[in-house]
Amino acid sequence: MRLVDKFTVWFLLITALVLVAGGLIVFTRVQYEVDREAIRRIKSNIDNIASALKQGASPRELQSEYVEITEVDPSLPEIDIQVYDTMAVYRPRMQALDRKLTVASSYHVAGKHYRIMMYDFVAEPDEIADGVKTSIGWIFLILLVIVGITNAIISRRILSPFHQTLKIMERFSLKSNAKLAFPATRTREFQQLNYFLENMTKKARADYRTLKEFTENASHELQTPLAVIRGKLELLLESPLTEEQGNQILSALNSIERLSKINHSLALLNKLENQEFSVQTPADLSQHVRPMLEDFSELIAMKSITLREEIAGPVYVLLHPALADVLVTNLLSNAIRHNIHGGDIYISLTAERLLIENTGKAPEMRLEEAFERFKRSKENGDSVGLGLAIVKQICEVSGLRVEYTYSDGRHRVIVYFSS
Amino acid sequence: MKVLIVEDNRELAENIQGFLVREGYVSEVSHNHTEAQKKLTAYHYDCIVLDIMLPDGDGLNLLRFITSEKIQSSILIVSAKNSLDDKVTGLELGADDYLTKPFHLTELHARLKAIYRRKSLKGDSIVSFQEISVNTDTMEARVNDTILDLTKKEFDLLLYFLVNKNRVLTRQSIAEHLWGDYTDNLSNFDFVYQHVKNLRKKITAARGRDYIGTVYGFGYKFDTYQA
Repeated sequence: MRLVDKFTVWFLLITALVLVAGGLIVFTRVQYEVDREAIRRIKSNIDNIASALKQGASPRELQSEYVEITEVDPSLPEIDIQVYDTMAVYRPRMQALDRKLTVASSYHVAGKHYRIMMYDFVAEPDEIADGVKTSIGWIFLILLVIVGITNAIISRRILSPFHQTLKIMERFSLKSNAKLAFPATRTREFQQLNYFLENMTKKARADYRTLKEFTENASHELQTPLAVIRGKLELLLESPLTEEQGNQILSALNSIERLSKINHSLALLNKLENQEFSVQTPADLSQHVRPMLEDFSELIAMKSITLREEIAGPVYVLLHPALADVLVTNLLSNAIRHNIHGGDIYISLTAERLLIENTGKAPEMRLEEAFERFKRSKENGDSVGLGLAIVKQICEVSGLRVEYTYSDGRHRVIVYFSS
Repeated sequence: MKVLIVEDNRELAENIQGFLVREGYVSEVSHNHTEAQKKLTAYHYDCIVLDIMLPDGDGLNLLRFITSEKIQSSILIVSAKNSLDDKVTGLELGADDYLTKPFHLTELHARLKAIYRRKSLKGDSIVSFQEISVNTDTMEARVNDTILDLTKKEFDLLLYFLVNKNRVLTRQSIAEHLWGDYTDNLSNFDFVYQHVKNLRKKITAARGRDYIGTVYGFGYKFDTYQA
């Protein structure tokens, strides 16, 4: 429900209550005024009749359908006014009951005491209520229409800075440094909102930059000491050593190697997360797969693996060339590493997908886990366990979808080019 | 060969210098931008090893200085950043190659030699030792006059051995040299073993001497002193 609709509903609800109360007031007021006016009118007629009596007119002449003149005990005091409110048949032929207002007064005229009674039919409470209800109903209807229309127009005007702010926030990116230009507004709430957003985004960007710089620096700062250690060990290898010492240096070098690879891969993952590889022009993936196959051909041959390939002509995918290389290398080297001696690899590249299928032992982990960081099979202790995590991250930042299945002794990794 | 090492980390500079000295090269070290600029104006160097992240100024600026002064040295950039942009900028500014830290000293040496051959020794594309010679232009390797039938990787491996004679080459450094960054995922050093085995077989088959030996179980050495 839109904000303006909520306001409208509440407004109309309150208005309805007020209108009902107003209706009651109007009803009682109108009823009171109608009665008062009718009584005043009748009373003035009675006064006229009384003055006619006083001037000597006979009561018989003055009697009519509405007027009844009776003589009462002269010793009684004069009655100024007496009102009877009864229901009576208005027109005998129509047999309709109506409200009959009877007013009576008595006068001493020439030693006699006359009681003059006069009646009139007035509007019934039902009729007044009907009138009030209809009027209130119309008022409410008009209000509904006008409020509906004006709300639509005014809300668009009033909320326009808010909608603009929303649009700006939608486009907001932590990585970009473009200043956010919020619309100028005189509404205090929106001013507060814009002020708050401006500060928050500034802070978020600053924090993001700090974090990014930290991770970048940490990864760079590690490289130099690693290079120093590796160099020292390599120089040490050149000096006369016993077999035992040489072995120890070499295994130390192994660990450095591992460390540097982890560092390298994490730095790459970091860069991917920072979306530092954005491209506008698509790359021909077949141009990345073919040379890679050639590069790996000797490795494939050494493991007596048969390679089958079906690579379509140019396959354009919106992917950074460097990432295309990493993607293909990681998948292909996995297909070689997790293969069996004398097994096979099948690579197929079409306009929709890249499929890499290879023979191999069943995976030790759940298939979804294969894409998690530092997950590796026990048999490949040398591996860092970031290859597939990198593949997944590349797919995520490039809008591709990767799928891994295992059945009938075959690993199957498919990269779909449209998610 | 005369080499200038521009590297702010003294230990690392010492490593490189130590390695190159044993190769019989004359090498000097600058720890910062200003010092390097002074040395470059005063002396001539065949090769420059340049760390592009220097404390007193961007190494890329030093590169710009080298180009503007028309200094004819081969330049090898060494960087802790494995960033494509830096690589491209560096090469566009006139560097000859780009190496990411942490590097193997033998790899650094191979790269230095390669750019030196390409730039300073124009046309000299033969690397040889005794009966073995390798032509980096035609990609031919010979033992005496017999042409060896080597795969691309075996050829690269032989050249790597010839450049780093009498050095212990670890399997990692060989793997990284042959497959570059891709070794991230190819820690199976059996492949290195296979390549070395095949290369040795092919050399001995062509009646060459088997200079390549195993050291400490995990490393290899092209030993010129062996009987």
